[in-house]
Amino acid sequence: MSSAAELAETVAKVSRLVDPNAPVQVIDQRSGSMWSSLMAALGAWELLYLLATRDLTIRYRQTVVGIGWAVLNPLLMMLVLSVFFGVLGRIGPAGVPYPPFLLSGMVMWRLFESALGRSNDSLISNVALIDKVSFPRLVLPVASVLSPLVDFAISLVVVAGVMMFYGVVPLTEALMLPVYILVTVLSALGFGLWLAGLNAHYRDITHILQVVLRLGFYASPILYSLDLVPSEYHLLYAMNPMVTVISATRHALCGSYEAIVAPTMGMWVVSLSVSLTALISGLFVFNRLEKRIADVL
Amino acid sequence: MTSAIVVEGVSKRYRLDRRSPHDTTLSAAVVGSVRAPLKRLRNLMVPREDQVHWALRDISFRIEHGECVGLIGRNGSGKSTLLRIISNLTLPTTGRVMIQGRVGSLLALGVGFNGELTGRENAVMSAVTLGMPRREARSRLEEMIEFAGVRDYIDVPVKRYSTGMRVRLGFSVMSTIEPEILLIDEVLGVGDDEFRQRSQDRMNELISSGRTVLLVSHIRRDINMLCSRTIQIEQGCMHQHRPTPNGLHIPETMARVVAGNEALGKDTPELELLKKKEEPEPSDASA
Repeated sequence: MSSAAELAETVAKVSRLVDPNAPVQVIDQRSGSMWSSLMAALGAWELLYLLATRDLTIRYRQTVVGIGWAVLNPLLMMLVLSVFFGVLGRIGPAGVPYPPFLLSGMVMWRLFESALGRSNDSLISNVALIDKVSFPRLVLPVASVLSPLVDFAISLVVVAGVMMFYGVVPLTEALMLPVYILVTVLSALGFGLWLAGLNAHYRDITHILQVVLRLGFYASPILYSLDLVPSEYHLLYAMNPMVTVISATRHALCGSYEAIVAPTMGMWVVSLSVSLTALISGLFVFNRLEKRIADVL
Repeated sequence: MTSAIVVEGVSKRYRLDRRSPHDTTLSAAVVGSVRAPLKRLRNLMVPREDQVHWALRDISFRIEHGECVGLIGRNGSGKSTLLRIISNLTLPTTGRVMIQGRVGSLLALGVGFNGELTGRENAVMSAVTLGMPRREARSRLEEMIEFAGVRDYIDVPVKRYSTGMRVRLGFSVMSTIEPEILLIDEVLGVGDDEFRQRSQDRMNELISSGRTVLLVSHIRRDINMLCSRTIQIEQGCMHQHRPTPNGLHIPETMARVVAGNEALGKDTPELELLKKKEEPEPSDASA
């Protein structure tokens, strides 16, 4: 039988440890509004950072060439595509060297593509974590669109190298690149949130995504230039949100050639509204689907 | 709210995804999905009765701050599901859980370690995932490594670890974050005698420092030694709710149990037990 003194001591310890006014967490079907999930994810920015860097570590740890793949990959891709479309197909604008033309369009697309692919897998490849630890799930897709930024930074160096080789001088608009990158990442996040949530429930999504990305590659001005599409269709074309950002990047980097034109304001408006809609609806959908995630994975 | 954990009418329904026995080959699956896509969709929307399983039905109890409670029951009785709900890993189908204080849960085998990362990276990662600031996680790494006894292997990828090493590191990380509420799912049984002794000591330390603990274990001895009362769940329903022989002798625990039951509008059979001054109860945990 514990003495009165012991009892008082224990009670004192407990009361020191617990603030009676501490917030109470309620777990039920209604818990977790979109806003509170968003705030929780932003509050866990350290976790976000760790997850993003963990992705990179894992990706390059068991490789021999390591981060060099980030250089080799765009270079090899550029070589193959330049031979087929630059030399044999002659699809690029006349008077513009094809390799820098191609690369300046391709970098943003590759960032978008890998950010989207990663966020698509972000939940199913982290089952171990989701199954064992409670943390804001939104952190996972957000971290997955951030980690391709490192590869992207390296491929930008490759682009710079190729441009120097061909003597292409960028315009001052190149200072806008950070904004273009942000737009690309946020667009990828918007669609990625839809995919991540849906993919956990229906694995069909991965198959669909492959097809859509393949189509998207041809439905964006990467191999060819923007003015290959008749200008009366440009606003419709800009419904693919990557169209505007890709052609803006290309213009900023290779705009010293007159054949390369910048996207119009109208195209920006269309593309940005598509991206913003995707982002907001994506947050909403993800938040809904995320609640049952541990049960279906 | 003055309780650490309040569970109110919690039920949990799982979808079973029962497959037809003829559905085992790839071609059958393809033909089935082509022939009856509508049927599949309908099953997704409104699950049939044989396609669901109620893992928990109408569970209610409350645990006061500073209590250590054992959760017992056979395999598949719903203990782990309950712990997963309280850990906020999955939502209850009906009812609600209210929690006051930082929760640390250690569910069976590890805290979501990534096999490719080293022990060191995983320890920091887990601590941050569990809510510890990164700087603090780094500075307390030594302590975690020491306690887990994996110093020689701390820079080896966790996929090369033995089961025991993983669990030890997991327990070590979890107990270092010093949560106010600890949820533990039969992990103390793993590990060798020495580690069991150390984790037992750490548990005692945590409990006596006033932390709230909900412990799932099949080992009667652990429960008796650590917990003041037990909740028994069978087939998803509350079966019994009584103090352990130890707990019977702690009046404050009894007072809290009575208060908790009164708040839920239930009577407390344990009071009768206490009045009779019954000696060590017959073993009620057959599991």
